[in-house]
Amino acid sequence: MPSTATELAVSTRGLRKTYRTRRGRQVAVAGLDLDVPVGGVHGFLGPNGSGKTTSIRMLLGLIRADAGTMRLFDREVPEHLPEVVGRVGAIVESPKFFPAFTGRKNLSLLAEAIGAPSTKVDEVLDESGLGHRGKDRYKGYSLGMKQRLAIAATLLKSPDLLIFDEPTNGLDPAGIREIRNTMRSLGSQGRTVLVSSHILGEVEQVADTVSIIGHGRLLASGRVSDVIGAGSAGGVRVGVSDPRAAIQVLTAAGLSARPDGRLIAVDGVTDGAEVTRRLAHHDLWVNELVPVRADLESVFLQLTADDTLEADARAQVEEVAR
Amino acid sequence: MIRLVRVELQRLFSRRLTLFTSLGLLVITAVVIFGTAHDAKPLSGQELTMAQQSFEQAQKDWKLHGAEMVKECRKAEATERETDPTVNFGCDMQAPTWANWGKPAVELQRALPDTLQIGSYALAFVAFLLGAGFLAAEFSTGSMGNWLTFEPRRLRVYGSKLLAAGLGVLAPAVVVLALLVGSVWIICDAWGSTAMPKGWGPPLLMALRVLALTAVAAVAGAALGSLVRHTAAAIGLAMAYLVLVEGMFVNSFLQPQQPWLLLKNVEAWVAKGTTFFLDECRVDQAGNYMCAGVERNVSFGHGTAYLAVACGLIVLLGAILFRRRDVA
Repeated sequence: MPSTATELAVSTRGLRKTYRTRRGRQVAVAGLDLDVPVGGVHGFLGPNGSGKTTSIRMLLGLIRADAGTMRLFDREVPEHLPEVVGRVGAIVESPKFFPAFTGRKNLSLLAEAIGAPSTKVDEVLDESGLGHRGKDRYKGYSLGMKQRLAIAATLLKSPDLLIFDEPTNGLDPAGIREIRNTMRSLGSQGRTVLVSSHILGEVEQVADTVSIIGHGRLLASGRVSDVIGAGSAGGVRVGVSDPRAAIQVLTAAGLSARPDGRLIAVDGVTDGAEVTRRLAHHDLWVNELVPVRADLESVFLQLTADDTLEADARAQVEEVAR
Repeated sequence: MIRLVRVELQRLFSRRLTLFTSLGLLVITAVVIFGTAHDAKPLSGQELTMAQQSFEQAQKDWKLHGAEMVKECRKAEATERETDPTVNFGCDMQAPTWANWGKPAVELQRALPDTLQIGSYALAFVAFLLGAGFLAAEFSTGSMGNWLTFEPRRLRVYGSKLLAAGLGVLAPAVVVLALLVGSVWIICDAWGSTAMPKGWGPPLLMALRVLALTAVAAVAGAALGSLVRHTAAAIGLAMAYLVLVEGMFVNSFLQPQQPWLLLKNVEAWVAKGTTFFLDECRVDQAGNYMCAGVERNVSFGHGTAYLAVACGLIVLLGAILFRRRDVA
């Protein structure tokens, strides 16, 4: 049953995980504060190696956190994980089932383990479009079918929170679209879908809220529109016959203009008419005007690039200190 | 917990490895039965005739030269005793009897324990393989992580898997034991004696001990499988131990340590005690280096305690690590 709107589905504070490797200690998650509101789709974004999967594994009790607290539906985990695990369905990285068993057998074992009726297996198989392939061995499934089976497995619990970790990895465009629709549909049913990904377009299309992490720390969080708004004010790209003169005119007018190929990029401008008016005053006639809409990708790249620079700087400071 | 055990049992019996291993076990059982039948088979008519001829010849020789042989023997012995008074040439020779020729008829009361003992090794080894593969495969396929997102109480998960491994192997073990007992009975009935002067109690208790050993081997295998997380690694460890320790080193520097090796304790558990031989070597007063094989005992209690402690330790270590380790 969907929870109240005041509740957080997921909350972490100061979450930290360090792995010991041959080359010393590697910080995977460095004090992550993450809030995922109940209901809708929440994108969990970060470049590869930023700590998304490690964070999810810690939430699910698969690996131990070194420090910090985690809560699922206001219950501290992993201590109280058994109390809330029935409300959580998760696919971590690629789907993993017994290869020699049929899809149906794999689901039947899971259903029986949680006390779900056997009819639920057929129900979720049909729901995920695998009803006709349930008797085939899992190892013969395509990647898309494996992903669908994993989603079917999560639905055995009728969960309030679904955690999908890179759900479209390796899928063809049709598979990606299918997974996206499934996530959107689950989110619109009042369930909370936490989808981790490094593919921005995919998340932007389905997510209501988003958290962006880099080097194991939270970089930005909020509604998708707010995060985009805070990260970039948009702009226009202008084509003129004399770009150098146009840049001088626009810079003199206090606008941020720079060459961008054969065009000029004017940042921070939402009204293109202002640009054309100023150029026309100097007999510079615009032959092309392209509004540049800020998107999650540009915000993401900006945030993670800044974070990389900061991380490098921190590493240099630590090196000097040593 | 019961539900989890039930699910794990279903999984165990759905595995193809379980099916193939059970078939392999049947093949091993057939080989053991064939071996027992081969040993029990009475002499053929031709072999019997040859034995009869040999016996008659020995009787003739005894009548002609028996007394002289004894006399010569005693004389040589007396000469030798002048330097070594302890020497014994065994000159109390008897006339040959037919019991020393031919082949004694097979007896159920002797053949059954021997067959059960051999069967116990096969059952324990196969149970170990099944147990190890049962848990290790979950780690190597990655499905353990998926399973733990459905049941995160790790000790319950661990306990249910070990319990299922231990219980699951009992069914094939009962079949194998029934086949062994039935076949040996048929063989003895056909070619020897099925008399059981001490009754059926001891062999039945022995069969129960074999069953318990099979379950323990499966549990230990499962625990080892969870420790090394790979079926091949678990089997490799077991094979390395058997070949190096029990096969090679036991005949050299580990000879005195036999009471602390696995197979001797398995034997002590199954047969209610066993013995082993130890070479005791010394230099005598004349400066000769002499070795003599000395028989030593490994008691039933020793075997029981050894197996209980060994299995308990591996299960405990497995539980600690299963609870603490990260699952990929």
